[in-house]
Amino acid sequence: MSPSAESASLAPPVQVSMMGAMTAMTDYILARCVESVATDAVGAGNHGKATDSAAPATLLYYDVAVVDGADCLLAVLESGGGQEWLACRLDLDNPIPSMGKVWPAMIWPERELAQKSGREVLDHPQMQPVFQPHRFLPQPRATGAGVFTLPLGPVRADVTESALFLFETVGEQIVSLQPQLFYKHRGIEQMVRGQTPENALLLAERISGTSSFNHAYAFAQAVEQAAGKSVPETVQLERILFSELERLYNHAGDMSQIASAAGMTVGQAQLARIKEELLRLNANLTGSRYLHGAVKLCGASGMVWQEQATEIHNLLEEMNHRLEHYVKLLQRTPTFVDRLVGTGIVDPSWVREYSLVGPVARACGGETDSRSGLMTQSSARSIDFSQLGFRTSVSQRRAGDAKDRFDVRVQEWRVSLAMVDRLLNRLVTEQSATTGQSESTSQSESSGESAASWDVTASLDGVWSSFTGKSGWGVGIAEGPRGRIAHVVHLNEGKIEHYGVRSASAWNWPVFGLATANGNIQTDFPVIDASFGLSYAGIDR
Amino acid sequence: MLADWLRSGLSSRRVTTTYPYGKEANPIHRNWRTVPVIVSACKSTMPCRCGDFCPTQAITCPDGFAVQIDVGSCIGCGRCVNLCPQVFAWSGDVTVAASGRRRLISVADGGEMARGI
Repeated sequence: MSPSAESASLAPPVQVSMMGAMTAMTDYILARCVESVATDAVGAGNHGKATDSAAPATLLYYDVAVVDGADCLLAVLESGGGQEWLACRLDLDNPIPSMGKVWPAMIWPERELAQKSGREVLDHPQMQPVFQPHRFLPQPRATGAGVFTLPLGPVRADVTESALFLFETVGEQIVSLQPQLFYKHRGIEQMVRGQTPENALLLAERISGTSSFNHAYAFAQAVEQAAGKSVPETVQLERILFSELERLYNHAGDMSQIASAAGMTVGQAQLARIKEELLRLNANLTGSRYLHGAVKLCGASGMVWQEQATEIHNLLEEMNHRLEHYVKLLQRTPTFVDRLVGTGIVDPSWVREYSLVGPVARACGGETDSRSGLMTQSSARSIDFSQLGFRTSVSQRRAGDAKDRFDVRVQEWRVSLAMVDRLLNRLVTEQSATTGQSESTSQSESSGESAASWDVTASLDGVWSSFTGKSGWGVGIAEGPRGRIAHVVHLNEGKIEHYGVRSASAWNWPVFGLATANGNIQTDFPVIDASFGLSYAGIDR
Repeated sequence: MLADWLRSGLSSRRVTTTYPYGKEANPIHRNWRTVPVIVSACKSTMPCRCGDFCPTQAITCPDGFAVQIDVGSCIGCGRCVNLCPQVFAWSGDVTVAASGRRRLISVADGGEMARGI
């Protein structure tokens, strides 16, 4: 590998700054993430006078973690491409101060936090355990004549994932919906502890099947930052390409689900066919329909893009032709449009109150996309996504209903196609230039997990890792099909000591109930469910 | 509008395949990572440690030499095929079924999995 191929900007080692008191830390986070965006969102709080001029920050991660041998609250913020790592020792005498009472986005993370740490969260507005959902069932909230309570799930029709939905209705009108999740909690974050990054990657890939690549991508960036390693630009480009391929098949699948919910069987079947063709393309490229194994830590995927480019171009062109045809038909079919317009409205103010991400946020005008300039990936900092044809797809109607969520996915499909086109061209050009220079070295470089890259003497001790002896913290961000995915890793002597996952759906789930109880009737539920397209496995993990 | 949908739906004709695949077998399946099988006995003269790199311990060598793979524990990560291609290879078969849990264990002489039964 020539030094010039190395990414020029290697992120510096993470310094976790220790805060003195938990209230100081939560006040600081609120000031950076909420007040600098909109002072009216939290009312007249007395926190946050220090950061008048600082750019607004995004909270990527907030949980309990062991820092310097002590149980701490850990928060990772990002603003303008820079990271801020904050930690504060859990104080034995004092409960954890609640941010959820002024910033609703924190209500769910704090519920998890309280159960994980066994500590009280002071003045939490809605404390209810999240783990072991079968033991802590939600209680009905509505009272009065004519209120009907309907628990739906956790086993439901079709192949949908497990969740319990507690509906409360008056007539057909839904007045409250409480989703009960975590039936699919597998404890992946705990399973990863003590593993080598190579083995942990396999678990990261399996957090959520539909965002398998983007979870692996975020994990790879986190562990590469933790170990102080950088990857060449071509590797970054091919990771972005795979990420877009994952978005394409997910969006086709989500559109198919929306068509199905609205009773459009031909549209549903034809869009599902497109998804299937794209899954087969994935399998032809990587051997796996869900792109397992496409991420190699610190290395290239081993793809020879010249050989694949024509197949990808041709297939995507045909799929685009078909998708545009069926989207046009759907958008001109009154029964379809009528089911979507005004259904499951997400209020634009919820975007910042709940830190919404992905197509759900963009459908009501929220310009949040971790591919845009403000939020560039930690190890992909040298990549300018706008040069790859990226632009944030935001709804022009800004109604925030199911129709907008459908249309935003259509826009994103087009953007992703344009990006795949440019990425392929760049990869083919750059790979042919590299192979022309050094035929022999590129061969050994290309497969990150080939026999040559493993240390054979180390293998006799049962240690298979290229991270031996590496320590540090790292965060990785990927814009998955459902929005921003953040992984936090603490590497200690080549083994993972702390692992945290914040999936896109984890930010969006809290408003699902609100949007459903926002003037909708029972028969709207499938449409809202499909248009949100949330992942259960992603939040449950 | 209805005519448009009818035309679009019917013009795609039949797109499903029969099962089992038979003559319609999709040749691209051959490249897909499905389940690994043992294609030849390990020729190593020293006790093999290949079980170490298998993340789910699906690969074991009970007496140190006769390697076997439990497809029921395999997640298809492909490390064995990458690291030891003379012993392991993808079966290329997308249908995996056996009449009992123990029959998912494949050994060097072929076994049910390697013969595609």
